Amino acid sequence: MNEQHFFDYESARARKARAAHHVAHQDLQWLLLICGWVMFAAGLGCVWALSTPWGWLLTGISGPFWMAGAWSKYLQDIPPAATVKTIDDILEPSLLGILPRESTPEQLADLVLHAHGGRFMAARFGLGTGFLEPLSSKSPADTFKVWQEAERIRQQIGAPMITAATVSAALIRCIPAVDQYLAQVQVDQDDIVDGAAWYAHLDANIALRNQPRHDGGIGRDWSFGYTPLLTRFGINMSDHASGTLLTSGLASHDAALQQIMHLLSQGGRSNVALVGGLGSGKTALVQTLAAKLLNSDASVPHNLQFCQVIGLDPSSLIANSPGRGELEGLVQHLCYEAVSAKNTILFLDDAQLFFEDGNGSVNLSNVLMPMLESGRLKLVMAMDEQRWLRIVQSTPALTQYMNRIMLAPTDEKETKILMEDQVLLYEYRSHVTYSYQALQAVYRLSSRYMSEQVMPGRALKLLESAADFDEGGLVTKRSVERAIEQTQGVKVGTADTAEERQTLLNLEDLIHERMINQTRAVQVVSDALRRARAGVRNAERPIGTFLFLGPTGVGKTELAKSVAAVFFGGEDHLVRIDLNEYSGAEDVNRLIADASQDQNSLTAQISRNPFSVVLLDEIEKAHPNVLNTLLQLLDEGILRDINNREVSFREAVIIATSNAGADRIREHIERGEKLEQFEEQFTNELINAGMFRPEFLNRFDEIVLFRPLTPEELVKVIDIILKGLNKNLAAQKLTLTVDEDAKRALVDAGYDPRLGARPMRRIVQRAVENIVANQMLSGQAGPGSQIHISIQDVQTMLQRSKNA
Amino acid sequence: MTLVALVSWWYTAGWAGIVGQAGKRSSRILEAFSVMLLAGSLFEPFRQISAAQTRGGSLDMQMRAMADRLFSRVFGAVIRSLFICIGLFAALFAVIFSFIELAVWPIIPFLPIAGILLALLKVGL
Repeated sequence: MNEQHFFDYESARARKARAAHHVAHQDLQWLLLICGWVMFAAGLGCVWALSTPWGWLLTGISGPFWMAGAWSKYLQDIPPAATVKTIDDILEPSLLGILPRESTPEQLADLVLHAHGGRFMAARFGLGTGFLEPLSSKSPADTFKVWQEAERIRQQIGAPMITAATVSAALIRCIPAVDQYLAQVQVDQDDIVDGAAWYAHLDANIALRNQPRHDGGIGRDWSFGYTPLLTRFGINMSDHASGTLLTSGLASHDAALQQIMHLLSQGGRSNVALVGGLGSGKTALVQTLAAKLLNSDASVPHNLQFCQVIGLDPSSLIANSPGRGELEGLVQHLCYEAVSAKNTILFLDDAQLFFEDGNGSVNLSNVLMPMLESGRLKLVMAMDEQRWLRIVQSTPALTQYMNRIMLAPTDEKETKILMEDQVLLYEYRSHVTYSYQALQAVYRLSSRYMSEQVMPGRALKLLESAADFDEGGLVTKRSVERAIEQTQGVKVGTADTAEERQTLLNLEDLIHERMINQTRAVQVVSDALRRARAGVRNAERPIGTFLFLGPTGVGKTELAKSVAAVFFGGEDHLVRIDLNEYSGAEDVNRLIADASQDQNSLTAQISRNPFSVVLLDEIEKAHPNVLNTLLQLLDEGILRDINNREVSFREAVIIATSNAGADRIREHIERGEKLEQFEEQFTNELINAGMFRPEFLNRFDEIVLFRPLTPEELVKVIDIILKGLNKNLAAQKLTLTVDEDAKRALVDAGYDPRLGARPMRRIVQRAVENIVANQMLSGQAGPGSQIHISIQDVQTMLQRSKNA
Repeated sequence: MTLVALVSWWYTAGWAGIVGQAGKRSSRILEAFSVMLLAGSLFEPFRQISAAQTRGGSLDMQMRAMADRLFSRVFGAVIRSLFICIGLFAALFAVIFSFIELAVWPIIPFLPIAGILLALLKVGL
């Protein structure tokens, strides 16, 4: 047994912590000191002014108050021991101060809830205050194991002390078969350790913020120039940075920050272009820079100490300058002012707005370039990589004066740290508490669904919006799911209402209300949708990818529409791309065009509405380059748009349709073969005929053959069409009935084995709808009446239209 | 037990802490009055108001700006010197206060006894 894991109740640190538990409060400290001074002054006053000897007594009594006040202040600081002999040397004082001489894990479980760390863990993991105690051991001998585990966790998370949060985590890990309990709140043991690390990180941040500030003092600004124009037209980032929770000590951001300071301190033409995706934290990094320079310590180069960072906003400059000449003059004056002040760094956020003419932007390169060339201006620009490349292309000299610093998106660990910091701000603003599970969900869901930004921006955005979906003041995993469902239009949770579960279980029936037969196609699509909503599908691919093969008018498109309506909630969730319009190699660009160029491109439509059915109609007519572009979409559910931005199709059902080989299908069916019998042979025929390449066909989850509809099935199609017609007539309180033999007459009139059900709608329009219209206009049918159509009516109307 | 701990701290770590605090207090005061910063820019033009307007102007304007800057430097030097002096005095005062504190510190535990004795003496008991 290691002595480090024993608790020494009588150690000096433990005694000090117990004393601190009673008297070490800042308010008490000040009260005692003030009482001391008041008594001292009052005593002396009594002696001299009132000449009463009891004033000496009052003066004398002030001594113990001063002593108690000073001692209270001393007890507030109990650092961990330099060398660890027993566990109390590194226990958090607030916990150490309440520990009895001996305790069981069960008693410890109760005690940790009296310290912040314990309550933090109970609240963040949704464990409640009654979780630990009943599950913890009642044997004092097991306490040793808890301390051992706590020390192991402390070392793992690199914390200076064992906090109540660490002890909570240790207690949880010492519970036998703990995983089954943790599974109920959807966490595991590693998450519990992460929770202790979160608390330790917050502790470290508080300690950092309690350090004295070195802000230069009250005469700081008298050492630098006056900047009236910059004050008027710029945004002082240094003012905005103070008091925010920006610095999280991320390794990647710290490295970039050091690089920026190093470059700016070089003088000359060492300015900085901060390049990174939207949401990578460029502006936040500049705010951190501003805060760091204003609270200068030894790590800040001497010539940057107390520098202020002022951001320029092009739209405000344009609004204040009526002509281009005035604008250039103003910017020149602003630059001179920044140079003369000697403590000003200019910051151009979205710097492309200063280098190209457009709405809200203006090309000021002819003003800025000479200033940069002279090497006297300190400048930081921020923009994304595409724009940086565009500016460099139009203004090549810029690369000579600017040093590009790439700001990569943060990884999962760094994003979590940032969220853990930022959560405090959102909790303060929205009066909510975020659970650990919510933070996990934020990372997972934002990486999957919010492709318009990179990490950490997208995670922080979702984190903030989740506060609006709190459940009784707590932001849970479900709150995050609801937030993303609302903002991105996707369904992310598993089916949780009885109604939705019922819909999923009866998908086939619901789809068959709209289309006839094709049971295998309906089956495979329904299975894919059920897998998706039960959460058992591969999340790195689309919900399902299907190739529907068959003649015209057999229900391929109708099935896609039905899925959009039944599963996604409306036919507006159908993104239809007619690939016969993409038969040229150059059409690839149109397919993946940016939303600003073409709102109807495939990528633009899916960016807007990722939870959709994508119908790629007549795929055999697309150019091979277009099909190659679609390979990644089918394989990984990702398509890069023309700006190389990823667009996710992982929440979409991809349905490609083709009429290729329709005659062969008909031949097989006419020979009395079933679809299953010739499916494989038919696919091979398509490959051999050069219609599709095998690697393309292999990308689909299922290749489904649609068989031609029989006249009996077409009668059912007529029924569906008439149902729709009746729905329209219901608004006018009319009911339509058509005799069975009349329906058969309609099928006979429109039947064409090559066109399937397609002519049926036309024939119903020509015969039935015309009869209804005539009866309504002639007054034969009015609100409340029933229109009956017999075979004679149909024949007469069809004859009439034939004659016409 | 608590009293023993308090008294033993008072004459060991507590008293020694006064010495450390004295140095920190003076340096905080010097920083609060920006003494080092102001000393480093003692003869710089005060807030360099005319700096932005002088570029590319006529000789007359340049001369006027130079005169402005000269005045600004003198004015700045006076203001900054004044502030530096106030800062130095405050730091000195803090050092003196620390010395007094250091001297008075060991007497404080005896204040109640001294108070009682003095009161009784004056009352004439």
